[in-house]
Amino acid sequence: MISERSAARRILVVEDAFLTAESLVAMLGELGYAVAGPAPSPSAARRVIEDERVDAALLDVNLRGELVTPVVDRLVALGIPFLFLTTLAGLDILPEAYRAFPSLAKPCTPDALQKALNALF
Amino acid sequence: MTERDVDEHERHRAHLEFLLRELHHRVRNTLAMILAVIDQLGTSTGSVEEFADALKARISGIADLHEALDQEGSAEVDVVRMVRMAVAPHTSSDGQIEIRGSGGPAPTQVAMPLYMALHELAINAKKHGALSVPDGRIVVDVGVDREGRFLEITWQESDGPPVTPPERQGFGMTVIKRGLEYEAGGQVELEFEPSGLRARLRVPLGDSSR
Repeated sequence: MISERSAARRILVVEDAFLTAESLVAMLGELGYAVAGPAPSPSAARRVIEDERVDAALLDVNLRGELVTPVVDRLVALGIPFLFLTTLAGLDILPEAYRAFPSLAKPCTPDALQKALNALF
Repeated sequence: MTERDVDEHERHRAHLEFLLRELHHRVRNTLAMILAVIDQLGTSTGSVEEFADALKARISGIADLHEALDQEGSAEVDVVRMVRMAVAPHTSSDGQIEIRGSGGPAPTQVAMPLYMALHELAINAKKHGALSVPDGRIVVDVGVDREGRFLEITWQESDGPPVTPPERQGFGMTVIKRGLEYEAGGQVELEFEPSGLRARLRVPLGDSSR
């Protein structure tokens, strides 16, 4: 028998703003997902990825002046799907090679988030 | 128009486009933050009036901080000025707040979460603590540790109503205790002494937290 807990996909939240991160965590919970993190920096996100189960990730691009790209590299290497949750200007600061990954405009509604996550699996 | 004029014009246009996009980015981020405030206030306030007042206080606070960042060229903000800015809108007379020492400038990354924490302390004082009565006072000591690595702020309330520890952690306490830690690696200790709330804030000035 599969328990409800193990059936829930576990989403890593990488976002440097505390209140925005808390809201995303709550939104994911209401949508029935489990949450890993939230992580405010690339190094904190890397630690979560190494230590915990992560089925997908939501990534802010600019984390207090640090780009999220090392996290992207690790997720790609592990085959874990992810979404950038940012604005057009947020995508602009990414190196060209990273801009083709899926993204969702921030702020987002629960419906938009659900749809975007569904498209990942 | 010469070729150089055209180049110049093109560069100018590209720069304006960049600035406009950056502006949209900041507007969306600020809106995301306000939506998050609404989310979390909604779970911790009772009546619609209480919710509206609480939300207005937070939006005013965010507006004040942006005003200060704008005036100081958005690189850093003087800590003493930030304390005054967070508290002043909630005092009934200038004598209610005394700020000692100097913290120098706080880097932008520290300024935002520090200001949010100070602003929540001020709102809490207005609602339950020293700023809820005309004679109540707050003394804030601001300084930097000997190695210059941590900003240290002590917030001491006095002459307010007798203090009791809160029964549950609402929006303000969450922001004070966890926001500063999450965003800047800061530590906050709260002591609910009957004579007045004391808060000690310790925030790394460099990257030592990460």
